[in-house]
Amino acid sequence: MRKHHSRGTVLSKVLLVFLVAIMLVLFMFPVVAMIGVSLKTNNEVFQSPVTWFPEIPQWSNYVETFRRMDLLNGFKNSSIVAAGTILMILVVGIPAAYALSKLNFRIKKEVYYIVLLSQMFAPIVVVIPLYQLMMKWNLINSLFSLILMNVTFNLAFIVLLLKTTFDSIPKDTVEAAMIDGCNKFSIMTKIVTPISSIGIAVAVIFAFTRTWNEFLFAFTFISSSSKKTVIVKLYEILKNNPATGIPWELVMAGSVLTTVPLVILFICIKDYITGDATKGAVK
Amino acid sequence: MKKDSIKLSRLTTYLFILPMLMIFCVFIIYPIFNVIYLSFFNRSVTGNMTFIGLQNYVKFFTSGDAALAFRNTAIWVFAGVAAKILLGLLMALLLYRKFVGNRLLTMIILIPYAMPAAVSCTVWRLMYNPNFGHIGQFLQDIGIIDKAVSFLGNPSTSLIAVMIVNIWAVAPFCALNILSSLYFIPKDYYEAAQIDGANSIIQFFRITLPLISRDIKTLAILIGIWAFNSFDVIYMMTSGGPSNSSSILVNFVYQNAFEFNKRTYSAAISVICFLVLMVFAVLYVQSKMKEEEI
Repeated sequence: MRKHHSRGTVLSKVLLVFLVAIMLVLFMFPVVAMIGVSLKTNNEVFQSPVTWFPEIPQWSNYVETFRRMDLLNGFKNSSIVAAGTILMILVVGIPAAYALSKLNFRIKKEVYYIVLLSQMFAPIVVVIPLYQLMMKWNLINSLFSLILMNVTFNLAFIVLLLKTTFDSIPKDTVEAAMIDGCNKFSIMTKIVTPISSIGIAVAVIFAFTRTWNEFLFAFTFISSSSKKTVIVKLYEILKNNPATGIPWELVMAGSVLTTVPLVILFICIKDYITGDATKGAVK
Repeated sequence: MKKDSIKLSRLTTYLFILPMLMIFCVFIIYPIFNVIYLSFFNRSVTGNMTFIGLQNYVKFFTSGDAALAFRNTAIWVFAGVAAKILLGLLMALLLYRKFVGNRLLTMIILIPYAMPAAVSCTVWRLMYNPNFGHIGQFLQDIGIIDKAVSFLGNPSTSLIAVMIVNIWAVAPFCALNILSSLYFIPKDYYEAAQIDGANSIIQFFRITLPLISRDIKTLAILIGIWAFNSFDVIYMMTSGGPSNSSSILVNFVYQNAFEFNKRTYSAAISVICFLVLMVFAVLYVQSKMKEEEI
């Protein structure tokens, strides 16, 4: 059938362009505002009427933000927490996911149920006892407490993600290895884990972004400013200053720098956000 | 194989799940029981604990906090979920069509979802500022308002203003999810419908919607639970204020525990949160368990 442009299809094309434009505007204007402000001078930020873009872009804001905002230290702390969380979550999560996917044991269904339930759990419900527990263990104001919390509240999600990845490995592969004399542990480390490297990379990215963005524990458990994560540092600039006293252009430059790596990572795992592998729990 | 070795092999299986279960026990299950226990006590300034039965609960339900908290939570969760799903569905239907730049657009709409909550809250707080914010300026330009309005500082608009931020951040996630459900619908269904003369509106209600409705239901429960838990967005935008006008249940938990230092009262509100949450979580788990067999 030859395509021909009837009035109907032209109309629907115009409508499509129109709707796409509306969608772009609705979802992108805060991003545009962020970039716009990040390039303004401090005077331009408070100018009336409000403009979207500066007359001359101040690229130096992106350097200045590091000097004035103490973000580097925040980046360092966030990185330590993220690295620790990723390491611990893989050490605990890979065996659990492997067991749920490939091994048989009596309470498998119950364990699966527990994992699904804890994935839905709200940290705030237990923040008081956890605070007291960390006090007792002398871990308040230590980055390790944040690692423990991030592991706890991301573990279920990561295990489910890894389980789906391991599920796609054919049973024959595992059985062949078993006949060759591999035990369960070496099947996991030598066969299942290497074939699933992409799935594990996705899990690492998810663990990273979720830990990087975590606010509740990072805000309540850490009191000394040299140990605060970048997210808390950003928030505290807002909290501790009146709106007119905030160097918005530097805060926005810092915001752009914090967002860019995350957007890149999310684009890498885009297909896994939509895919059934993760359908059920992403953020 | 000998019986002993089978038994041993069975035991080693449990070693694979033991670390995970231990973490859940120490940091989730024990704290749940602890918070339930705490909720029956009163803690004095000196730290003395006295058993007071259900008084913390009675106090919450008679204080007026409860009515406000439940009203705000219901609006935040139900209206929020409806808006996110509806917007997500519209975006997904749009992205499902083939056009130039389709893939790029899918990546671009991911940005609000990928932005850390702290960053998006910073940006929105600037944009909402009555004196130098973009939103007030825009509304003045098109003549909807004639002078500066503080959306976050006004008790009648603060909840809606924060909801908009949350909808903006989560709707793209819904869009991607619904989009993947749309791709699962076999193309020949639509071709057959076209031959029968069904237009695209009939196709949507007769084919698309029935086939994705179950996925949408699961998605709605999931983002509903997220919304119920979303302490951070509200706290970073307004701290729940002014005068708790934008506080949902979880904000009351935090406020009483860490700002008013009323830990046991806060524990009672935690337990209420937990009970509400469990209803939704069980619904979710059941709909997930139906989807896949283990």
